Amino acid sequence: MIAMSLQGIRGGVGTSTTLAALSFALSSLGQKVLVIDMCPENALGLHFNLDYAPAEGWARATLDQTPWYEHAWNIESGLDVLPYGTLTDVDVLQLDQLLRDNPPLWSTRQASLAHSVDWVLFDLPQRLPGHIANPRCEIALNVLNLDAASHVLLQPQRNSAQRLLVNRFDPASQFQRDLLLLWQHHYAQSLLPIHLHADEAMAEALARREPVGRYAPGSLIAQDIISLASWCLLRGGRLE
Amino acid sequence: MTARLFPYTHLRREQNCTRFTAFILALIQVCGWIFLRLESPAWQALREQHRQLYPHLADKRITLGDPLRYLTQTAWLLLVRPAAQTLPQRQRTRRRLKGYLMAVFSIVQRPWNLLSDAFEQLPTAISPQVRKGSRWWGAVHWPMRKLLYIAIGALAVVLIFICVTEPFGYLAQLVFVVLLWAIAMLVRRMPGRFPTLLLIALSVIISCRYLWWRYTSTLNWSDKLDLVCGLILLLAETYSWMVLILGYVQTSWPLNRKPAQLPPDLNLWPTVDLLIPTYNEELSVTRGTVYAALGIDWPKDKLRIHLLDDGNRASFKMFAEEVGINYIARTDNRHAKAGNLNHALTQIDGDLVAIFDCDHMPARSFLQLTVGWFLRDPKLALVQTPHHFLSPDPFERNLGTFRNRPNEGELFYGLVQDGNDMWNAAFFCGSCAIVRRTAIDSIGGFAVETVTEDAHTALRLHRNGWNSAYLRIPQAAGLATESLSAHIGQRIRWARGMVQIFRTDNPLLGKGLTVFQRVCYANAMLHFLVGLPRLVFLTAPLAFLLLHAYIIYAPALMILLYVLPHMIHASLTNSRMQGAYRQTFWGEVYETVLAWYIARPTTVALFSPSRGKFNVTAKGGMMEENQFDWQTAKPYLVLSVLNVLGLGFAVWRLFTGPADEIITIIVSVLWVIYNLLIIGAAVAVAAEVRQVRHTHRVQTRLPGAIKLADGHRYPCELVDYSDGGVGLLLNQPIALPVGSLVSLILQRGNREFVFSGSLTRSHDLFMGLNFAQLPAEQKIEFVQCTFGRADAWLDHNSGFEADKPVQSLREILALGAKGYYRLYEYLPAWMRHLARPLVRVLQWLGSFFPRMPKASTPLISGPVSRS
Repeated sequence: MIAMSLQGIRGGVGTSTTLAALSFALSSLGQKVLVIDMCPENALGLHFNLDYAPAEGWARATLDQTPWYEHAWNIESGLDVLPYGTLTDVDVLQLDQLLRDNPPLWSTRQASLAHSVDWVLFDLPQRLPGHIANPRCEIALNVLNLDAASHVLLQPQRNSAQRLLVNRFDPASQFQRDLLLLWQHHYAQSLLPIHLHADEAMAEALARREPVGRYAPGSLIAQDIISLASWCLLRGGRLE
Repeated sequence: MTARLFPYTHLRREQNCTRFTAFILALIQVCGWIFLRLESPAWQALREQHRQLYPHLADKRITLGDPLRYLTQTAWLLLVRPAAQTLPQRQRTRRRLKGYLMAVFSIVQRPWNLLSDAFEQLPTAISPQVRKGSRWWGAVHWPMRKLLYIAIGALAVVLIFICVTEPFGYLAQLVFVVLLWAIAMLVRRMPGRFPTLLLIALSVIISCRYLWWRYTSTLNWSDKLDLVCGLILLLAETYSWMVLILGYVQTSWPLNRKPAQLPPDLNLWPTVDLLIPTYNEELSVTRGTVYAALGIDWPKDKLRIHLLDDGNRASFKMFAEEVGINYIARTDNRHAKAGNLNHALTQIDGDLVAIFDCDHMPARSFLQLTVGWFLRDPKLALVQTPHHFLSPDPFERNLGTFRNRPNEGELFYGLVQDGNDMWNAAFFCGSCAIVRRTAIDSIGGFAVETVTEDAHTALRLHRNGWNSAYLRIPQAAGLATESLSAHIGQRIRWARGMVQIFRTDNPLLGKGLTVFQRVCYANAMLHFLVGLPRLVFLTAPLAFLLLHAYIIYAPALMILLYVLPHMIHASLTNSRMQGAYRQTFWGEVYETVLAWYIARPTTVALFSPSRGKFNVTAKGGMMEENQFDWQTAKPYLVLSVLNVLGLGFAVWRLFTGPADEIITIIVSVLWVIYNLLIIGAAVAVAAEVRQVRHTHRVQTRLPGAIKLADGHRYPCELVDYSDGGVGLLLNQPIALPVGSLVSLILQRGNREFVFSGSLTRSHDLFMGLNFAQLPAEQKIEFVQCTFGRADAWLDHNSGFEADKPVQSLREILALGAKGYYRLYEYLPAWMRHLARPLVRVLQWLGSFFPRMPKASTPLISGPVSRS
């Protein structure tokens, strides 16, 4: 089993949509995938045609000390989604504290999953250090857009274990091309060889509450995501 | 019932037969009913398959000849009927018969296969012994080794001398040639260089023996006419023999040079001046080259691009300013291209000078692949790369061989230059090359004395002790000449120039060259004197048939025993050495087309080298419609008429001549027919095929993507491109109106570029885009993503079929026949009218030939279910 996390460098770069699309692509490549929503917004299920913000989820269950795995939804064969559950702000902070106090919490849970799934994908939030640090992931991707904001956020000493994934790349923009060239030069080690193109199909997919690979399998972004999934398989094969 | 038995009325009314025909056919039918059980199931089954088995008779109006056609077709069917349709009984008999035949054949075949397989395995099997042997040889001391060398050499020379000069009778000669042929056939399949050298040795022995025999025992000294005609043929053969031997030396060991690595420190990379000489070419042709040159991967401050305009045109100057390159023009245009380059040399000061004709678009990797050798070898003056053509030349276009057969230049750039490189004799070809500035300065600039300044410059460099290199990686692509006449014009210039050099600065004489350099240069120049000898070969049998001159004064059978092995060995050896670059017998066609046209200028240049002017090769044009180039084809037509006349004479001689000449006549007739077909192939080239597009589309397979105006993007495959547009293949059909805005995303390395174009054509998965309005900067990027890609031309030979000499001969002969048919199609109406009876007769005779039965198709085809 390979654990993998996606985190946006800031909000709104398309992390959850990418994660949903990636999980669908992995499962279409024959992998058993479990997607875990680590964000208190509790919206990942929307990409899989689940209700917005379901009450039950692993976070709620962890706080209530009930079995966390009972709230997973089976989307299709080989693809399961575990929602966060509805929590008040205070509960979120309490859970974060709990996760910080108990670092191996998710590691043990991951170990128990080892034989039933091939991939566990975590959708990480922006802040909440406990939520971010608790899962032990072999592959950690940082999602960015080719804009000045991402560039600025990249500047401080960044966690070099995280790989950089460019999303919404529009080669028609001279600025984006130049910035990409700059990143390719500066972050040659951590920048992924695959860039996800901007594509209207991605926005439409969420409106249709489907992963893009199902909504528009012929689109460029679906192909990009398949490339990314293949990269993950290759990478995962190397790690295993 | 009567109608069925005796269908006279039916034939009269339905088929419109004459009384006589109807009566005879009806009579045949009634006989059939009387003597055969036509109502039996077997005959009925045959009747049902009538359409498949007799395809050419099915819808034909019934005529008197049909019974004979049925007979020939039936006889044919008994021999070749496809297995699926045969009655089981007959099939079994046939299979048994075939089994017997195969058994008899395999008595010979099996040991032969075993033997040749053993030979194929030989190199791997004996490699330990060989390695041991070579180690032992290395340990032998030098004087001893020298002695052994001399001893072995002397022995070989004596043996070869005996093989060449010993006169043989019929049987001895037969045994000798069969033995040598068997060795050649066995060795042919062995991998490696040694078998090639062995094949060369065999071929040289056989050819030398042939020539020796020709000189010593085939000239009739007592008859003046015989002697003159015989000597002319013998001289032509001597020329071919010389070119063959020199060619073996030249190409026996191609070097296959690899690119040299550049140092990591950019400061060590030399400064390069890239020159693009033009004279009267169109700006549209030149633009692409400039864009591609701007895209070459090289430090920006170390690459300067200069447009050398000998036409002094304002539009070129404006364009140069627009894209930011240097523009150099001069007041006169003395010495044409060489003068243009020399003038530019006075205004530039880079370490290296790269030269590209204005229609040769360089790949972005050109400098990175070539410059390394200059740093490695300080005496290196020149690196040449192949001239690759992205459009078909007249041969390829008119014969339909583009990208599936090696073209005319392939032999030179694929093998000859690589062979030259082995002997440090690779020469400059005027474009797609890079030279060292100090070297050029040391010989006083580019040579201006001849019309082929490139080869002459290289010769001077070699004479002055400079080295040259050839890198067989296509790093540029250009347009081929667009018409046969332009192609011939270009070759005339090359031929004249090379012969000029041969006269004024003969590579065999003078200082500074090694023996092998002399051989390579001499062969390159002699090669262009092929015109007269080729014309001699095309008319030689006529000397006997028309004039009754014994040109080869020997018994016909003996001639065959000498000449056939000579030709077969030359073909086998060349097929092995050059098969990938020129298929057997294609050289004959190329030479035949040029023979007449280069014969005169080369001969003139040979005697008076200063005459002759420079003509620029016209390129980038367009053949508006199918046409026949009568002007160019005239000499071949005269030659073919002469040969047809020879055939007439042959028939006459066959009936009136002495009986002992019959074999000679038959051999001559075969030779004439071969000549006729080769000339026919040349005629086929003269039938110019229309060019459909104004810009040449390059076939490719590149990943890409499109972006629609609504923000959707789809992956696609780039299937062809030109400088004005592309063809794409999508994964799913997208219905868009023509004219909608579609952008194309292409990758180059790890960068992506977007080109906005408009939809010109959309059909199912195919989509055509037009990029008429790209800004200059984008045009550079587009050229870089397409024409200028480092790997753009690397797989141009992937479609070539392997050379098979016998098959190649068959193709050429078929091509010859096709040439005459095309000629008939293009004849003016009145001549076609005159020729029609002859064609009719031929067609009528042809109608008796049996056809391949059609494959039977099932009547009901079920729907194919999609899984």
